[in-house]
Amino acid sequence: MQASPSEQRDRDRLIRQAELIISNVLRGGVLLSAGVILLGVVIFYARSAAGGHTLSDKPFPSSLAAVGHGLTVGDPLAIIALGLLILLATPVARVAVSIVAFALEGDRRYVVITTLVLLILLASFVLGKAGA
Amino acid sequence: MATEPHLLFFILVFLASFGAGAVGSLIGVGGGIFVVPLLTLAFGLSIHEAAGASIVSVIATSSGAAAAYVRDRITNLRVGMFLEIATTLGALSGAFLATRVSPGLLFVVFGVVLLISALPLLVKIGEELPQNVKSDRYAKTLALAGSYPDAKLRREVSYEVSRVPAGFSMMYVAGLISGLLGIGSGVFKVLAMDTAMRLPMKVSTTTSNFMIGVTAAASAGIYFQRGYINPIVSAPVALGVLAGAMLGAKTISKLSNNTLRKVFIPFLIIIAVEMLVRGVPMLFH
Repeated sequence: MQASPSEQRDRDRLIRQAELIISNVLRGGVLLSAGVILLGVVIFYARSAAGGHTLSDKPFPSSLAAVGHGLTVGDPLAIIALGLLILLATPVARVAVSIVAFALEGDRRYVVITTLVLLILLASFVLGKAGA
Repeated sequence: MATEPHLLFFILVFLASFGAGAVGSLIGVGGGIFVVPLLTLAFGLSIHEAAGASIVSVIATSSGAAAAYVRDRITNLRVGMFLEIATTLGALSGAFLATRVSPGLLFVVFGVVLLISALPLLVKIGEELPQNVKSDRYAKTLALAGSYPDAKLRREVSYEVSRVPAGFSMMYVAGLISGLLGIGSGVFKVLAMDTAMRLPMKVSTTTSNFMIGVTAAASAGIYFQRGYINPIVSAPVALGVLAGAMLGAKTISKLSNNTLRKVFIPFLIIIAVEMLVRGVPMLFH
């Protein structure tokens, strides 16, 4: 199966497009999470310098609900936790978007492979929660 | 951490994490080897908080540099995605086995394995690109062979991919030790691609960098729910590692594959020794 030069060019262009999509998802996730973490850090240390809370009297959120609640009351630790969650979710988002990128490329093998990876990841979240 | 968090704590952890991100992103490892001892030994944090910060460090090293490595076409996306099947399955089985096997024995076994695997790397010092590599039939079916632009050699370097089943098996082990022990997953990934599959060193380290974030993500949710991810500890780690990883991604084009291997080997040995130091006392406990 020999591809003609123009088919090969089209294919290279699609592969390049897939690479840029994956790269942009990673960069977007990183910049967004860094911005949110930085915001939380600035607020936290500003309040701390003004004689605010200490860590010992203030537990940090460790569930989505607690982060959500903390955000509504402007808790800087919840803002940092949100930024960290965005960072932790970035690789998963990258896998999910790769499925689309490989589909655009028309590469069915890799759509299947990447979907399998996403399913294993999701299984680890569900089973991890059950086991924890 | 029971005392009031000082800005000095933030700055010191940020700087150490910056270094971890810069080196880790170059050699394809997560940087936990720098961050964990600092947090536990220098700042007296619990091993759980340090483990949470380590997971954050791995994901930040991966995502921070991978955007550039993928854009610059150094990462082999197909090799990475295919091998992630093995690493995520390994991480999942590791999480299940974690309560059933003795970590001491595992630390010692993998520490010794890593020390032994330094030998073939030492032999390869001086080799810029792997020679006489033939793609096996799995590599052909999966279209794994590729090319990358080498800024140091100033040309596009084409390469083949060999011994895919051996590489895949080693990746399963890399995922397994990530799930079981939480460290050393990146070095095993680089070894699998460099020694078994014989990819050029830059492709091995950047593809490992691409993969470690996904392997770590498999346990990140559990760490968060268990309260291991303390925002005050993890914030300077995340910001420092991200900045360092972005610097590392800019630096790799100035390094040859041979230099990169020379940087990798000492860290491989340090990680092996760290595993032995942690494992041997557990055996006699």
